Amino acid sequence: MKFVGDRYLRKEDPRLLTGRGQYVGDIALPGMLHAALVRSPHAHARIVRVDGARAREHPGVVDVVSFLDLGSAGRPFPIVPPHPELRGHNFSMLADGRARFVGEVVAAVVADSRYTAEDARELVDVEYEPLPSAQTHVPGLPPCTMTCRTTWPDA
Amino acid sequence: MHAVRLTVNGTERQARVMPRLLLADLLREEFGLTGTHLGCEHGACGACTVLVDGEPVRSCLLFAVQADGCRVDTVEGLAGADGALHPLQEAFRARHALQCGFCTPGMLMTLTAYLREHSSPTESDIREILSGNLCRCTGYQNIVQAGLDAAAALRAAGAPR
Repeated sequence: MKFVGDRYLRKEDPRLLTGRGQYVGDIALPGMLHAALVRSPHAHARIVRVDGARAREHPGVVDVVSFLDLGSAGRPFPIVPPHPELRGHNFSMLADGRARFVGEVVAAVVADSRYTAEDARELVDVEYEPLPSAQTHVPGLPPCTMTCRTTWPDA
Repeated sequence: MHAVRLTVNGTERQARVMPRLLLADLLREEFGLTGTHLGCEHGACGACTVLVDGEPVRSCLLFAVQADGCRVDTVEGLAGADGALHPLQEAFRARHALQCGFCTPGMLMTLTAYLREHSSPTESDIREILSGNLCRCTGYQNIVQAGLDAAAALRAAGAPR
């Protein structure tokens, strides 16, 4: 068996080069729904209220989901494998009462098409209470003067 | 809803579309041509590049109704009817100019249009013309080399396809 130093043509390339690959976005299933995500405009904020009532009334919308609707599906999952030298943080798929970076997902609008979902996203009312945020890495260095992880011992 | 009629990869296609339906979504969802990929959806990444009347365009920035009456060429139309890869596709394969392949259709369409009119590009020319197509895995070295190889192959074969 000799591989090192030899050139090999990849078996998958012909289909990728001719547009016959299949990526997640290419999958179409019967009855499939589409989601548009509502994201935090704040680097750090308390999420006071997520109100999907107006969005739910939009034709074609199936549901609007925030953290409180997730139930057991909202349990956090680890973002890094446990390691003694690393401080891990567990994320839930939707922000749980606090947004910790610009773009964190706060809610999802589920609808019969991507176009409808994005229209209705504009109708989701989220009330934020902005909190102080670190704009450089310095506030996070020892002695830490700011943290957004309230469960950490030096928070 | 508006009726649109286009020639896609040589075949006449018709559809009734919302005025705001993007050309990319018409190709992908109505016509099932999912080889055209949507990356950034705002004209920055170039993955959705197709040819409209021979010119490369971002199909995420063009409405389907704007392409009414036009000839549209996508990555699915590059290979020969017998399945033989286009010299540009061959060069990409030989040079390992793709990993995940997501940006590749846009790269191929941008280069196809360019090589039709520029038979002897320099490396710098290829880098310039590909500056609007982003690749997040291979780096650009092999893509540029594949473009140069394809230009040479097309010159050797006579008229560029």
